[in-house]
Amino acid sequence: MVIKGGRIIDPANNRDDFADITVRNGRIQEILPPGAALPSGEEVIDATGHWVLPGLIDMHAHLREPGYEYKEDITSGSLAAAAGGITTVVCMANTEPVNDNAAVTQYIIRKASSIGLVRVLPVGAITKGLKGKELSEMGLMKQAGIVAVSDDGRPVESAAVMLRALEYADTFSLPVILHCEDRALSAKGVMNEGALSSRLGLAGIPAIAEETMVSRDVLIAQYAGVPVHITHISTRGSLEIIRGAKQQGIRVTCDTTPHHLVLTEDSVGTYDTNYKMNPPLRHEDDRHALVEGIRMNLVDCIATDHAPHAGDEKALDFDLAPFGIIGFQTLLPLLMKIHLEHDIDFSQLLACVTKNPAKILGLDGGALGQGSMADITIFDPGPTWTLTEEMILSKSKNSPFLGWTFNGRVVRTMVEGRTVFVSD
Amino acid sequence: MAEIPRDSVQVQAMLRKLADELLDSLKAWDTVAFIGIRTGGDLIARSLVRLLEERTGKRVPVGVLDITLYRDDITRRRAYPEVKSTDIPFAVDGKDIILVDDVLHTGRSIRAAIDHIVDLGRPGRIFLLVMFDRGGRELPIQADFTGMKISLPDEKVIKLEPDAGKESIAGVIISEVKR
Amino acid sequence: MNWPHKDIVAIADLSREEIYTILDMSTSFKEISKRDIKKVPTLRGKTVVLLFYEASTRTRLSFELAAKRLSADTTALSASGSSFQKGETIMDAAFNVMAMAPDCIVIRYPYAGLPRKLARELPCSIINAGDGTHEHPTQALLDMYSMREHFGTLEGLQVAIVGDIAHSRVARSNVYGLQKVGAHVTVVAPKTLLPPGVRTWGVDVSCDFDPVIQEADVIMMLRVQRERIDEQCFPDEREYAYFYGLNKRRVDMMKPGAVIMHPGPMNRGVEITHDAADGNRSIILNQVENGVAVRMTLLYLSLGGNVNGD
Repeated sequence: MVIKGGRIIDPANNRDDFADITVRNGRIQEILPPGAALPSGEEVIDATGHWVLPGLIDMHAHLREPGYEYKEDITSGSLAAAAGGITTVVCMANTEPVNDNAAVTQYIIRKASSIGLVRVLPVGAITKGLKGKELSEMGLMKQAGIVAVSDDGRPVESAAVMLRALEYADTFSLPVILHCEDRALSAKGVMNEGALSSRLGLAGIPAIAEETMVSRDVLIAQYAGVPVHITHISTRGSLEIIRGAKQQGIRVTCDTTPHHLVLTEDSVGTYDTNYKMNPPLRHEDDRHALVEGIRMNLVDCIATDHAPHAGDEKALDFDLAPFGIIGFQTLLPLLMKIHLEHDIDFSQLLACVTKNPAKILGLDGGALGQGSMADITIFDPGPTWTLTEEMILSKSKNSPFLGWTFNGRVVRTMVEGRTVFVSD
Repeated sequence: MAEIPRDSVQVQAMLRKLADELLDSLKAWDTVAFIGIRTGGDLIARSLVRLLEERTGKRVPVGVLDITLYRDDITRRRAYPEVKSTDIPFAVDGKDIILVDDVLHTGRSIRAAIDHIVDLGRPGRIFLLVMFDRGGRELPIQADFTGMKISLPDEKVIKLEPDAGKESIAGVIISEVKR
Repeated sequence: MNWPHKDIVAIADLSREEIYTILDMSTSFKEISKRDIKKVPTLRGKTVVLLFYEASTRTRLSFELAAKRLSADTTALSASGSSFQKGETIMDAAFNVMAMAPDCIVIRYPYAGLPRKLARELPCSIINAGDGTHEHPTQALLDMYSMREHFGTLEGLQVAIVGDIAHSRVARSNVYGLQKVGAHVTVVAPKTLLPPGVRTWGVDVSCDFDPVIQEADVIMMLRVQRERIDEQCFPDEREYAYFYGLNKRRVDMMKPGAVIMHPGPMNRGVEITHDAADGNRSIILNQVENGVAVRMTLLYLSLGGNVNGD
């Protein structure tokens, strides 16, 4: 197969130029300058005017299977991811049953491979049942195929358990992904705490609920000498703590979500539950800090925290509705928006969803070099389009971006050389 | 048909004529009380009562009725009517009430006023006095005392103009209905 | 003047002029409750549904009397808000009620935001009788009415609101309303019961009750709930009463002519003692009486002045 005439953007290889790519046996065989002789008899994909990108890695998503198939399952999630140009989905452990043992891990991997769309890489729980008490069988899960451990959705409340978990995970070279939240501080909160939450009569989640935990976990990581990845940071304070830690040489990385980079708490004013997520949308100052954090390479990754919830659940009151929004199909469009509005290099944003998560999780992927896996996303930067519910392939439609107009869309997604999505 | 009175002198003449009629037909003044419908009827009622008190030397009770809450067309109008107070400083029970309004037209205001009065108690009798009867009734209501029967095209309205102190009538205005 | 609102969701939505219109009209409605026949036919044939998903006797009774004195048909439905956490959603219930064609829904609900949502989605009038810790507009209007009735004006009035400001919808609605009509508000509470961002409210904030008492024309006490002790907002009722309760000693410090208000229900012995609640400075029962008149006005304006089709 030949992908011809496209602009190749590959942060891993510092490449941004026009070239043709030949693909064989699921890997990239050669990258040829324009006009070079191409092998004959191959299928040719004309990428003229398009951007050819490494397939995106979403290092934080919820596929809901097993247990919550009414929200999403691995099939619908895979379809949505493919349509979003995501070739690798890292899925969190808060399923039912929880992915805290090899049987659940194997189930997810088998199911995903039988669907045969995107690569689904499970994350195992840090503690059994995500209860924060007993370590889960990380070693056996690693053998079964998990790529990291996380109790995402819940913090590990006990510092002692956290310390042991870091040490034990490192025994198996498993990256640890941390959801930082002091639940006693976030309590009944449903949105960012501040003047607006007071005015709306909604209980607030203070920034320190996140920051005290980020601070604690950075110190534990330093003490244990083990790398940690802090997921979905949302405040300027968290970023400052991570900046300080990085300067001290502590091995800490972090990600934030596309929505924390484009939305603020002001959107909550209408009590629309599609703006309810955890961590909550914060102040404009926090959003600005996170955008600058990307620009300065302090924020390593961008992950969707794709969290499907059924319409009936999101129809509840703001206080009662579950936290979370979907994000697969809006990831790349939102990166494009950030690129255009904040004048951040597209390749820098792209690194946050390709090269950087691959490095943190130790994955083969996220690059377009000779011999790389042919996970490729072809993106047409030209068209503008408006997101409608009908376009959403997830079972759940809980997106705050419905009705938004975006620039550029995914035209083809390939996993190991197989096309898993083509736009109409 | 006689000329519609326009200035205060002509209005006073009409009020005196109405006072004469009342004195002729009402004998037992102890039980008589006046209730004017806000705002035109109120003005007439108080003006008449001043004349009658001069003539009879007796105190004649007078009250004012706000019928806004008794109207049957509240939800048909875009503008909400301002609700002012009803102020009846006497018990209506057993009284011979002279209900006073400026213009009798469809009869709906009078219906509302009667409903209102009976909510306040049980009067002996209710008489209706109006300054102008312009016809066009939508309910079977007739005045017992009428200043003048007049004929006006539908698009015209007739209104009393109070004097600066809002105590007596300065004149009568006929104008176009704003559409 | 046209009444531009289909609904009464929040004081934040009303202009100064609109608030004064409501207060002015309420005097006329108050007179009706003094008659032998306390009923006018104004809203005959209109249906008012009272949906109360939170315990309330006085607000419900007040609305019910207000509607009945205007001859509207009322029907009340009480349930626990928690029943909506599973199965039927509150919106299902609302659409069900709407299918029965009420002209107005009066709603009390334990979570913020629902009246706003109903106002947007349903064609009938929505009157917010309290939603979570968001707003309780009718209470604030009756409070302002009671203050104006007593003092003749709201302009320049010094109002102290004392207690659980953080969790009080009454405090929020009163703060927004009183600021619009030109009164001066001081909120008094321990820091644990002040809402985040209270400095942005444009009110004076004090943690010390005594100096505020001597300046205030109105002292509005808020109910404080035991639940706040469990949340570590204060140690116990004894200490709360000592620092933030209105007792005889503090009543004696009040300015001549100053009055005491409370939205009810009172926690006697906690935020207010017998001397304060039942003494001659208390206008708490006037508040209750005025509540009916103000709610009649709101029903009249929402249902009377608003239907299209001349």
